[in-house]
Amino acid sequence: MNEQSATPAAITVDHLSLAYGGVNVVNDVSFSVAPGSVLGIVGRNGAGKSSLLQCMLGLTVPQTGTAALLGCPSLALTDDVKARLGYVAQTPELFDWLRVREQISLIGGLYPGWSEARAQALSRRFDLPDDMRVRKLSPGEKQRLAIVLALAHQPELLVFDEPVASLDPVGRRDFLRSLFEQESRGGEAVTVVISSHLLEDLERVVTHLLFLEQGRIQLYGARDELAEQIRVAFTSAQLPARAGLIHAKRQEDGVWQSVIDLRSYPLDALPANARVQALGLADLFVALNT
Amino acid sequence: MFRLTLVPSSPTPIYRQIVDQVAHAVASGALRAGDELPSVRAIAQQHVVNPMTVSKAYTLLEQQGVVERRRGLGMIVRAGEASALDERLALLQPALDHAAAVSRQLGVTPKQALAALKLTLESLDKASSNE
Repeated sequence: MNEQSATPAAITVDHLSLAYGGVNVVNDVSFSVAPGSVLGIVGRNGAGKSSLLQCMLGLTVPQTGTAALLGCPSLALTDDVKARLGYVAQTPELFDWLRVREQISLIGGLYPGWSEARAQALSRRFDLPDDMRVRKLSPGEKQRLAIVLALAHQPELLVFDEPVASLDPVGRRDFLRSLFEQESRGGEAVTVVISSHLLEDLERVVTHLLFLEQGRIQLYGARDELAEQIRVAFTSAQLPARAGLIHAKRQEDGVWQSVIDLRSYPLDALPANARVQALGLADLFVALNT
Repeated sequence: MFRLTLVPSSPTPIYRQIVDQVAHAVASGALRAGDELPSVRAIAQQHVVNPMTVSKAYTLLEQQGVVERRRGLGMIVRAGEASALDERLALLQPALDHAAAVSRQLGVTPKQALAALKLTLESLDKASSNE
């Protein structure tokens, strides 16, 4: 994070690494997230997004490095901190045999200060069939139920792993809007982390973006700064390695496509015949991953 | 009626799109002194964007003197000199963007391009003083 703030970070990840069978799925990842931020974690399938989130949440033990949520080490989360978290896993764990209403009340019972009225309002808003058994819900309905369960106790930190994958466009918009209607129980700024490759959703709401590639951070920063400072340059020859050269690839027509950071790679350092373009999020994602 | 057209997938950041569109609407007269901008919440809800992004745009517009915050009313378009330069610069920007792109395509360095712009402005001055 670039900005210095007096308030402690909502999330701190410090030199985190996780390997399965000698393959690094999370590779020396460090970043911190200020309260009130909406962080989008993007990367191709298998880039390590879910593994990173699970280490961050203390659900998976990393080989090296540490993570902390709301100032508490992830591997030793207190009940107080757990009550201030909301998490929607890629495949939500729900009780198949319960009715929707029962599942909501059951989870509610685990949280101090749970508002049944609020939960019911969310449930209506996400069009959940109250009396239906969970096992009969469609994948999209199950995902909406998991989102309601994560939002209803008014957490301070929300973590979503591919939250919208099985939602239709209307459901996705409802989900995004609901993020900004959230107020945490203690009145603190709500921090949100969303991993997704649905960039057209992310680009509406994120304040920060973290690009992950093969477990490593490729690029991390405030969304507006990235939009204003990251460019793609097309050149006839390969650009020499230097600070600010993030990614380079020779295209099929022989032209080199390089992603550069203007903060450390000023335009006048490019060859005179370079063609430079600003990128939308989707194009930046493609440029970084090809 | 003033309406924003936000394109989240554009390379131009959303806050910048809001600033530009409001500034252009004021410069073109579509928004007039005393007009009220939609609330942060209304824009965020309608366009499904982060309210912080809308706030950032409004704060910038306020700093540029295009709008002012009035208690209980929200953001009101200002009249007067203060916004005039920004409006004019905003209108100049597309021409600058185009000149910059062409300079780049022709391999003209920023220094050379700036010198050329300066010369052009000076020759305009000379032409008008000879009149």
